[in-house]
Amino acid sequence: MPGYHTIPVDIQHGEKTQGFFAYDQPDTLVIFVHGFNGSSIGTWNNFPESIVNDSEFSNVDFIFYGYDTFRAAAAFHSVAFKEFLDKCIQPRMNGILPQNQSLEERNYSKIILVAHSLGALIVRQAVVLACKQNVNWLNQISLLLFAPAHKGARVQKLAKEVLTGLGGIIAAIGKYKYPVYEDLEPDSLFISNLIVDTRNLLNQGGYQCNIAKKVIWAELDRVVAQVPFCSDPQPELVYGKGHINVCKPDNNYRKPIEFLKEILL
Amino acid sequence: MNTTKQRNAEYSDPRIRNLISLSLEYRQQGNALRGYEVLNPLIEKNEDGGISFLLRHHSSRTVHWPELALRFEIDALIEFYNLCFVSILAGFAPANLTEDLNEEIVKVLSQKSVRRYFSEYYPYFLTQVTLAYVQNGKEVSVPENQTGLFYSFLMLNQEIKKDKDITAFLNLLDFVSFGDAGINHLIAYLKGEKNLRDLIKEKESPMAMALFGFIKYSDFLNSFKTILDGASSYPLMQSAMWLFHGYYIDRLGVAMSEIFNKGFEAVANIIATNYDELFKEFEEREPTISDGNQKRELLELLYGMRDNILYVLNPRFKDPINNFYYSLKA
Repeated sequence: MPGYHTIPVDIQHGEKTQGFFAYDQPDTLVIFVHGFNGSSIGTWNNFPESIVNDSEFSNVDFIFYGYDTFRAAAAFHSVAFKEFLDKCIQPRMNGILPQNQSLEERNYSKIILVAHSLGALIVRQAVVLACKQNVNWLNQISLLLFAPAHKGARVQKLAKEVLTGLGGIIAAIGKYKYPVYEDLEPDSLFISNLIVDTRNLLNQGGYQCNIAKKVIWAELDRVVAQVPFCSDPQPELVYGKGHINVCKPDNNYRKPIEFLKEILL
Repeated sequence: MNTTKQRNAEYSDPRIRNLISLSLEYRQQGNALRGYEVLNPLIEKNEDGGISFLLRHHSSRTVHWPELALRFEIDALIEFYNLCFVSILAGFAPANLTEDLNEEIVKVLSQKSVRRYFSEYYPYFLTQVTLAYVQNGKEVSVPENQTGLFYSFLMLNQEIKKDKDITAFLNLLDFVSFGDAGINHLIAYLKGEKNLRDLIKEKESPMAMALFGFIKYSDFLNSFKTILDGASSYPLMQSAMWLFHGYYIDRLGVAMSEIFNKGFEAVANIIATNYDELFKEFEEREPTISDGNQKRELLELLYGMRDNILYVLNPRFKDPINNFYYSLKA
């Protein structure tokens, strides 16, 4: 019977960020970062269910990071996420671990950032910022990116499939453009700078954290531009899934869990 | 429970540790703790007058801050007890909780004015069931392991709990007006009778927040359907999860269905009649990937979301717990 983790607790960073934490001293932290119109939990569907019942995750802490994609641009969210990452290195001292659940301070050897769509932009830019500051946790970072929008998104298709969460449809009707729309254009200043910065860091050597451990493309994804990013490995393909459900495990689709385990182990 | 006993119990039965974790987060801090600290001394001193006044119906005398704040704290305490009941049905916490907690639940929920508050003035049916269950001590069959589903349930609850936009929408639905603007004004925006773009840009105005709340609550109900579907093999747990949100989806279910029907219909009508104009810019930018079926797909998506929402708002979800409650009372 499971009982490896605390119950999910609120974390006072980002937007509705939640986490659950291992009772046994964990060596790994996994942080999930959703995409546009997503939410800290909704994007990931049955991930929490699969995780808490699996003994292989018994000594892993999990955080589902949220941010308000209707408000502010990608650059803003990236800095906020980078600041959050800084605090995650000593989560108890920085008030991320629930203070009342008798958990000890962590000393993570691995931090896996799992991002979907726009979340990949946020995560990559946060890592670039961290590299520029030469923070001491760069070597712990691994990236697992589902349908990443790091080469932009087809805004028209985005309007249909992603924004068409009701929020997107209503914005389209109101002819309103959310700030992140511009950032998601394939030739946006944000993406162009991200690519240049990443290349420069990789050319300097020693910043391997900018190379994703795994990139996942969905066969039916008509939202993001499926173009390799800098030195990322060859993407792994998932057949029969689209942009939105490629990162959502269920009883019949276990690949997202398997991908995570492959990086974890 | 002392520390040694607690530790021993934790290792012999993970459900005890689960319950402790639940209690530490939802009862031993924040609103629920303050709610208990407000109520307990009054109950101990048998001062029903004070409780009765604090938990009065608003029609007898308007309830203002800071009384409202105290009532929210008591609501959080009541919600914790209900959460315990759901956690039992999920096999997450032990069926008999702990002796101390059972005593506390009975002491608080059976107090005359507290009981009137949740059963008559502001009906929250699950609370009556929680009390009856704890008082009755009847054994209930629980699934072996639905911890994961219970986590998803908790996390989804937390997503909507402190959301100001959702609160604004639910207040509007609960017949609270912002000046002279009510729920019909929101529908007018969705129908295009008022300028939607201006409203979205306002962001922090009560009506703009209600609009975002409408969007977010739609997303919540869609996600909640996934959880209810996941619990379909366990009707009692499914029903209890549904009733946990019953203060709105049970009490205001009919009004809510009507609003979501109207809202989605309004948006669909605009898509159906103005699609070309609305998406002209996108079409011009990327004409090569237009497949001509998007209007139909968009409408299908909207109606799918609406159908999911109406599915969740169906009061039949109440039946298993309702039957269970009457079996306890029999």
